[in-house]
Amino acid sequence: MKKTAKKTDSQPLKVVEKPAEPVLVKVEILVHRTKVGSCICAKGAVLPLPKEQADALVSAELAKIIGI
Amino acid sequence: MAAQYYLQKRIIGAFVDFIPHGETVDALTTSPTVIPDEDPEENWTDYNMGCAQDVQFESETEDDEDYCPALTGGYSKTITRTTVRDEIIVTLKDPSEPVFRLLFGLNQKLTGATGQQPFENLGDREITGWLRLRGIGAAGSTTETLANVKVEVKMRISDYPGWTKDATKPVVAFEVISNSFNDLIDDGVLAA
Repeated sequence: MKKTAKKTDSQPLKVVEKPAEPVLVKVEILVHRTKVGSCICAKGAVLPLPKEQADALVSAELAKIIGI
Repeated sequence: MAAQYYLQKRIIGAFVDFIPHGETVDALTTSPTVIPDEDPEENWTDYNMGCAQDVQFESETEDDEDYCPALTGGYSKTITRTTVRDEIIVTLKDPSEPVFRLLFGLNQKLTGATGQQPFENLGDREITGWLRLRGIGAAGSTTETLANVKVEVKMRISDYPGWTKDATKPVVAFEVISNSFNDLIDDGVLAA
């Protein structure tokens, strides 16, 4: 029996976009027992945080940005 | 004046959660300066060490003795006692990853995939982290949580019964480290 190859419609390649990774900045906690997410942090703790979360802490004077 | 000591016969069950430093909780890495809170409760219960069959509290003290003369004659002895170390000793029903990590002297946690060199840790075989110890009375955790203790600790194997025909019940020692986050909530003692 003769085999015939099936013709398939050529489909345009889909471009899969990766979700942008959040920009992390390094912050130093300024106030003892500052709540960050599900954790409590001591004064002097250094944490990498998403920029938005870091900005919120900085504006509340609970942390300062010390690097990226 | 009302009685001050809240006397009540109690059977106390212990619940032990241990979060080694370096674990990730809500995208943050735990450390001596970062401790998970209890919202959600799974922050701690995900690290439950299973049935704690027995919990003992041990303090190590050092004494300094002085003999001082009395004006009425003779000497009297006074002892100045200093507590230098506190340990919580827990007998567990189930061996767990941290127990095997210490037993085999590993430097890293077990991953289940990559091999590690056993008995490579020739220093103090310990895991530092946060311990939550809850003492629950017979009325249950809602009304009779007698103590909710959170302390930074060093976990070590205190006694390992070996591999035999019987179930292995490891005994671990948690040595308390001084930390400003160390905390005790004792409402249950006063309310029950």
